[in-house]
Amino acid sequence: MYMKKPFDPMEMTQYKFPVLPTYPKLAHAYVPFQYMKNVYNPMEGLARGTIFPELDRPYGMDPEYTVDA
Amino acid sequence: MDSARERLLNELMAADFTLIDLNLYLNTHPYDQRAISLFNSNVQRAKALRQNFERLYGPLTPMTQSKCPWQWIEDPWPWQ
Repeated sequence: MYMKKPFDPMEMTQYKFPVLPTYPKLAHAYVPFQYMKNVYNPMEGLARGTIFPELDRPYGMDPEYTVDA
Repeated sequence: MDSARERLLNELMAADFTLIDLNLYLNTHPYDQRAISLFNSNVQRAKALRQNFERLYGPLTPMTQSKCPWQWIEDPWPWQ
């Protein structure tokens, strides 16, 4: 039985969220939680469009998500 | 626009962009101390770069103090 836990700021400081809930519900959409790692320097970030390497996925790099390649 | 001016403006744009991206990240990660530290040090850096640019080349926005004559209308414009 799912019980909603009260908001606990200390838990938030740890960011111990799993990528997906232990029991994902059907017909619910989930977004994996981001954890900041190293970031690009400012000049590189401006050129790439993001300072987060994990979000740096230019359109067309992955054939699976490219419709007009 | 001379190249030193352009380089400084590029550095400032990059510093501002880093702040925008960290701003977005912190909206959803308000307890990330490391991201806040990074944000704060970048605020200092962007502020220093902006002050340096405006001291050398005049105002970037019409929201700063001006010498006489009114500096905002001085060439070159940002697209020149």
